Amino acid sequence: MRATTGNIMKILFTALLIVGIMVILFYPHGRAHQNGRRTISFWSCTGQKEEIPFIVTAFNAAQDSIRVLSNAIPWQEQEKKVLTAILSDNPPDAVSQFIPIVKWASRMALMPLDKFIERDRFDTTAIFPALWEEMRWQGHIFGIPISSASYAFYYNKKLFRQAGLDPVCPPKTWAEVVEYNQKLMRYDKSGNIIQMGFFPFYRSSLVASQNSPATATIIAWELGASFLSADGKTVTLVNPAMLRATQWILDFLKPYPIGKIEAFAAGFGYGDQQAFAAEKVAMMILPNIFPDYLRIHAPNVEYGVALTPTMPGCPIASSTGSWWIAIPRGSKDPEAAWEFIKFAASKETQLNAYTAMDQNLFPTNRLATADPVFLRDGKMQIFVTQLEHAHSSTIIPMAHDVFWREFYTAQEQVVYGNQSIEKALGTAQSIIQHELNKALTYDEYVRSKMNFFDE
Amino acid sequence: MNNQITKPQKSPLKKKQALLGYLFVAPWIIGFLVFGLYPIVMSFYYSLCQYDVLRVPQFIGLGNYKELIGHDPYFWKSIWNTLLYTVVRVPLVILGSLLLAVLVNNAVKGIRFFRTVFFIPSIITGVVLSALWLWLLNPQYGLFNSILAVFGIPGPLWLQSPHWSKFSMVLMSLWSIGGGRMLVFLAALQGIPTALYEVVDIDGGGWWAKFRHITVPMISSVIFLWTVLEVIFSFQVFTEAYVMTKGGPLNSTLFYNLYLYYKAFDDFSMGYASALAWLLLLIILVVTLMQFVVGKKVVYYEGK
Repeated sequence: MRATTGNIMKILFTALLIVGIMVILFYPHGRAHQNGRRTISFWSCTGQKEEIPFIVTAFNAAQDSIRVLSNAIPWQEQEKKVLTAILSDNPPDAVSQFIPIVKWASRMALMPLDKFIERDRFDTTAIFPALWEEMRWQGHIFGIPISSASYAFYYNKKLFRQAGLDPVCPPKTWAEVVEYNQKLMRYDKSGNIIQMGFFPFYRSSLVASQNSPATATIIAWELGASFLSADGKTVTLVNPAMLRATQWILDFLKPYPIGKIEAFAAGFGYGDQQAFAAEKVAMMILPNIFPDYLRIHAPNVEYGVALTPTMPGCPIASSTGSWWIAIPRGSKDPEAAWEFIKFAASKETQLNAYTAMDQNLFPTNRLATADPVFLRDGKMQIFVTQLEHAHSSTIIPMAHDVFWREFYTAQEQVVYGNQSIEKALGTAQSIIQHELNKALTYDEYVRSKMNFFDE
Repeated sequence: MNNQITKPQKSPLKKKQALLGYLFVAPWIIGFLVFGLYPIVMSFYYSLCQYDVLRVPQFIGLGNYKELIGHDPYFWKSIWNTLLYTVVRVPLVILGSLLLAVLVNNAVKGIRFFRTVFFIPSIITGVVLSALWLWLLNPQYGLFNSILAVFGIPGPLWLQSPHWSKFSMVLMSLWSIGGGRMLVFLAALQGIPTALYEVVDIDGGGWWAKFRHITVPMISSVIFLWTVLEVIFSFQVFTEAYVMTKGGPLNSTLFYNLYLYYKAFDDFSMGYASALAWLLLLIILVVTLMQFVVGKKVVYYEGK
């Protein structure tokens, strides 16, 4: 049969179409070299209004040899997106994240950075200790903290005045917090709580969205608590400090029926409905970014910032966590990625980032926070002190989510009066321990199959 | 030789047509194999492993299943929560939709307007609905408790009390009784011959007799189908709890799928989560088969 011109055209058209689709699908879009500059890709979720993170713009402007292509990934399911990219051997060269780094490091998703740190004599003491220790797993460092949050004690001056309290004298001890709270309590005609002095009971529901760390862990840290044995194998949630801290929460809430507390807390929300912004709670432990938050959502709130209250004779304690940058396993140009990370962690970059942006996370570099430019705002010294005394909120790295779920469940059981403190914390401890054991056994198995560190 | 007689040679045209046919269904076949069958088979394999997606799976046999059934208090808690939710919710939504369908089946003036009004709530998606109900059910500022307060009734802590939280979610799911389910019931109702109702009229029966002896038996197959589907949907409840309560208070809204989600995507215990998923399939299968056994006795199929 003789092929007609029409048929030939059809075949040609189909072939062209297929080739075209293939080219679009498989064209290597991340070109490694651009105008003689090495190009690396960087993925980050950005909460700032700047689409391209400040550090990327600054790095690209500061030198000529490496160009960072920034890719903003959406907040939703971001962890799964990056992990999928790593798994399919097509990861970015550098990635910025805030989830516990050990969760990723232990899954061998990241490259250890020790050889870079040693070679370039990277000043590890410049990073706040709590943040630096978070980066460690199995004796190796897997990322560099770039920005963090420092928490301090915020109090509402207007509500203090209304309650007859001195607006320049916030409570210094947890016992004083109880006293102040009693004076700051307000009820409506039906006896419903409409204002509290302090709110210590954040549980796993939406109340946890108030951006405030768990009061019980802060008090327990002040009392010297440690929740994991030094070898990282034994969970010690039931310890004298934690028992005392939980007892404080229970005593604090005792005068108020749990139903009234729950009904009051159900009104907490986002934006101007956040408990402190809505002037529903007069004292709250909140991050250093909160003044920016108030400026946007509740500019009329008159507040002061102080060190967190303490237990008698104890030092202050605080909670923290960081946004870190790491190099995923399978990165095409780890050297260039490392140069970028070093730049982002430097004192100058962190200071410039702090002054250039609208909403500011806290620097991780102590040299930046010691600079007079940074300390111009008197409040900042408080946040620096808080961060020096901070503990990582990643308490059991290998069972992080289980830890917090069980911690809040135990708190609920206690506050609802269902279980004694010992029983509730004991149950939580055994569940977390079980998960940790499983994680460690699996980890051992994997390392017998995949030799990662000697690569 | 005989073979050639019984099995005629395919003509080139037939062959070409067959090839084209396969080519046209190929996207679906490939999609099914890659995104359907492969994950299903692999999830069964992973359910027998310790596995966290990024590293090699460790085969542990029935370890996950044994732990779930024998040692995991949250497994039983989530089954209990889900079962209770299903048992309360399914009869209510079926009955609600059926009554609403009977109501809008009347040929009164402006009935189309009412049908539309009843249907509209069901087009709102789960997350938006959850955010809305979070405020409707707010104990201090919510609409429900404000209305109750007018009558001097102190409203409950809808979502904040472990005793009310599941019921609140059932209440919330009644929001969509005017949706697709009602429309199918309506279509079924309109398929009932009016002659049957006339017979009841002649016999002197009232509306109850019509509903009980004509309407329900005549559409029993549709009711049955929706009951089966709603049981399956109820077992898969997730969004409301994930958005509104995160499983609390005191794990009273920790539904099966929410627990599965926590295990899979918070803890990355994919093996364990796969085992949970396969057990859910088994549970739904058993419940559905039981329904079919009962259904055989009570459902009337017109075609038979």
